[in-house]
Amino acid sequence: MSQAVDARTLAEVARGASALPGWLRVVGKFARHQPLGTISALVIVGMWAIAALSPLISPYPADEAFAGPRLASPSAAHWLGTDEVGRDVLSRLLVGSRLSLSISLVATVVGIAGGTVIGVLSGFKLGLFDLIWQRLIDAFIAMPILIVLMVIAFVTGGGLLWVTLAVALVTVPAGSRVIRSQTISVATSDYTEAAAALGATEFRIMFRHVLPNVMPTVLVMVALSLGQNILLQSALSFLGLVASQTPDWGSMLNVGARRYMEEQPWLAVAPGATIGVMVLAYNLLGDALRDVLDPRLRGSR
Amino acid sequence: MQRYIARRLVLAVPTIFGVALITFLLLNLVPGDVTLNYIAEGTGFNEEKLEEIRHELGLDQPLPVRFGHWLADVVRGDFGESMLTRRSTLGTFVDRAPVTLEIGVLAIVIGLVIAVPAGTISAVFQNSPIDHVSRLIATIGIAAPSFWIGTMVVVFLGIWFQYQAPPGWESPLKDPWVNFQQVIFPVLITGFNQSALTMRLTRTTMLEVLRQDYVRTARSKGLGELKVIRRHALRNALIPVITVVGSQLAFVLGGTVIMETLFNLPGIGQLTLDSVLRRDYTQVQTNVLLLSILVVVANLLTDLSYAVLDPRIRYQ
Repeated sequence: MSQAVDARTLAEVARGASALPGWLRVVGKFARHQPLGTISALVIVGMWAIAALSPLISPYPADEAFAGPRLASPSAAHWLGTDEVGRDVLSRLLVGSRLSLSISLVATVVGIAGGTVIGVLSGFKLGLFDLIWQRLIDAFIAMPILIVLMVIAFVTGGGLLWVTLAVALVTVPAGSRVIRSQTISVATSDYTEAAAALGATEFRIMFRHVLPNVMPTVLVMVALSLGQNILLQSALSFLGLVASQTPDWGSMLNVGARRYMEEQPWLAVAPGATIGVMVLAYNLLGDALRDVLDPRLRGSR
Repeated sequence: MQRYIARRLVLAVPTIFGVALITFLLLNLVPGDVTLNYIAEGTGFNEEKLEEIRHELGLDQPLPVRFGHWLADVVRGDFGESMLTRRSTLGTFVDRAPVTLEIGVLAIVIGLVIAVPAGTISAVFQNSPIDHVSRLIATIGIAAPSFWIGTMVVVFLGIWFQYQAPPGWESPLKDPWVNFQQVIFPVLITGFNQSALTMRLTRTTMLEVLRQDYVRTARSKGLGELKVIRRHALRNALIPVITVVGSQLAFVLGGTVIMETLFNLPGIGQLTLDSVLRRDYTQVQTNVLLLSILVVVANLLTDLSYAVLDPRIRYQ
């Protein structure tokens, strides 16, 4: 132990360097300043882990009919009760999380990535390119989101890939707008001008200067969009437009709950509350990230 | 001022064109054969008949030509017939519009009625318990899925109070009490959802405004805090909130699908859902186009009112 201490140079000690790796200290700082955000992040990671492990940890197979009595209330054997054909609600919830979480995750990543590309290009080049794209984005934003999703989901047959692409599509416009305004403020700043004066090509400026400075906003948008997209995707499956054999939270709310809810209210409570908790967690995380990463937006808490 | 108005009007035109383009593409890049809709069930069909129908509908022409025809028709007011009912799609849309508009407008109004005082109080008493509680409620209000709350409301009303609202929709002009029972819950649920979003915005802008110099001046003149807020701070803080109202309409109009389905209200949302499920593409096309144009117009109006309220904007 003493040898490790001796190995530290005078400079390090003067700096106050600790033995912990840099990234861990950042996480610790985040935890101290943003307790809500940290809890949310833990909840989110926990849910993803549960989703990934769900076939292993669910008490019953999700589609085993009559694993218990029909429409049973929560009990020791079935923590969240059973549905109309006796399937264990908790297991279905756990397995259903895979669909709900993965669709919204992929859709958000694709959507925000697309929005970032468009936003950065648009904000950087301005001119005709910007004008045309912004009008197109305006048109998209004017269209009622859920209705557009409904149409796409139905005309394409509601396959999972199409639903994911549709949700990604509606994520692009809002994201591109925010990122575009960030790009504009970054591109007009002094260091970007300096880079251009030094002869950097447009491409290089965009990649090495604009993009890293836009990243904080992108991350915040990812967190917030994840929340919105879970709502959108569950709304879509609630309306019965997602074609899938496996359960997911929205369809659980629709099929079992609406028809059988008088006999067994718990059928609706579980999936709905789970959706709400996930969205809450994503939103709180997004708020926390925004507070930390973008001081300019701090006032909007 | 005129330049600003002219600019906004001019910008609205390509936006509406974009909306028409996107709507057309969405509904005409459909895999599968739309002509099958036009054949009554039970009658035998053969390739010839299909070709005839296809030609009649103009479906054998290239896409841009079809788009041009449709656009020309729409501009003249001809939105085509529903594939199912053979009624004018425009007519059906207009029939159902009052339901959706009533819910949408009332929801936005309720949203503002809740959000503005809540946001203002939150800002004035920043970091007090009231502030924390209202922000908490707002955060939860954004997260809770409206279809879940709607389902719970419907069922618990049924179970605990044995109560079911009168089905369908009566115009408030004919029977206000029945209408009230029918729309109150969708309006409250959607309104609460909207107020959560608006409340945070109001709080933010209010916080900014309260730090301004002119507020300090007003206070130093000896004006009571309430007067300061009412006369100076509020109207400035509300300007961004008003612009947001325009975009709220897009969200609310889309969201009425769920409320109308849950509470059985014959509005545009339910119409669109039914039309989509029954493959009535012309009706869906008309609905999407008209709803989006409505939103563009609403945004235009809020932008213009923004210019009226904030003189700084007029000189941009």
